[in-house]
Amino acid sequence: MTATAAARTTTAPDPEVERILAFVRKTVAEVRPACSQTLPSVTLTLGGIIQATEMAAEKVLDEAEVLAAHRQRLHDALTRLAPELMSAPAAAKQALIDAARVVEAMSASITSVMAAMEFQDLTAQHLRATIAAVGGMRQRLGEVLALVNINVDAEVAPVKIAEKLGAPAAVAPWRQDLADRLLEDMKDPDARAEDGL
Amino acid sequence: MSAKILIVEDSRSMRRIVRAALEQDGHQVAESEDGRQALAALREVTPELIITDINMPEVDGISLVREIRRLPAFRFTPVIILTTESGDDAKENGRAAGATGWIVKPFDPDRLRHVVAQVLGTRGVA
Repeated sequence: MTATAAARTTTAPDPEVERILAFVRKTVAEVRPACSQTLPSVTLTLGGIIQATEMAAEKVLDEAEVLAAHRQRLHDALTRLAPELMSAPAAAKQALIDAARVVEAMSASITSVMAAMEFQDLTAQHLRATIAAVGGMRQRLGEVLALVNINVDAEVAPVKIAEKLGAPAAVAPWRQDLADRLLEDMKDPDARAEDGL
Repeated sequence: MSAKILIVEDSRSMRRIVRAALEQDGHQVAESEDGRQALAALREVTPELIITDINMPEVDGISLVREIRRLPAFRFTPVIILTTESGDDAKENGRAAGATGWIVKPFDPDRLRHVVAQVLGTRGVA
């Protein structure tokens, strides 16, 4: 390379290289907060969903088991009652038969309710796989960012995605609705009384 | 016909659902949370049937089946795999490891009871 060519290189960079450099700076500025804030926030939220569904499913199963115990007691009581109704009027016998059918139907319903709670395990499995994928992605991204060690202007960075994601309205819109309703209730105590709260 | 059955499953809610289904038929149910715990349990209990998940921490379901088949006392004990996995490769792995049956989640409790009754009914038949 001649001295003239070298001078041209240092004084007038290739516009294409400049464009690529600007793109890299902008991308790094966008990706850094995503890597350090957004992805951990996503992981945390998904973990929270797993826990919440687990608690809900456990509660439903607890209640279903209580119902099953009640059903069994009812079944046993009807079994004890049956011989006493041998010489009872036909209507009483029919009532016993109807009651026994209802107990059987309860059994099927309880089983269905319990089986429906399978959703928790299936959901949790998918979410855990997603958490693992997000974790892997974050690690790779961290490695890439460590390689591309470019200083970027914080002003260039876009809005803080993680904060947006963590906001109640983004994570769970119902939380914001609930907060709004509670505030409304506090403003108008008469309305609470009318609702019987 | 009631039997002693061991459920190996890391999800507590799933264990409760399976237990409830099996207890309807009068079976005695024991539970383990993963393959390692199940292998420890097999030193103390002798189930006539084992129902196991595949994806579990510590020892997974397929490895558990392999280990079970190495134990002389359980070489012929039926093992049903209850899992979300439904691919042919996974099933082939299960079969090669020595599993007796395969039920895909989400499962119908009545279907599970039916399969269990079938498997228990054919115990000892080559």
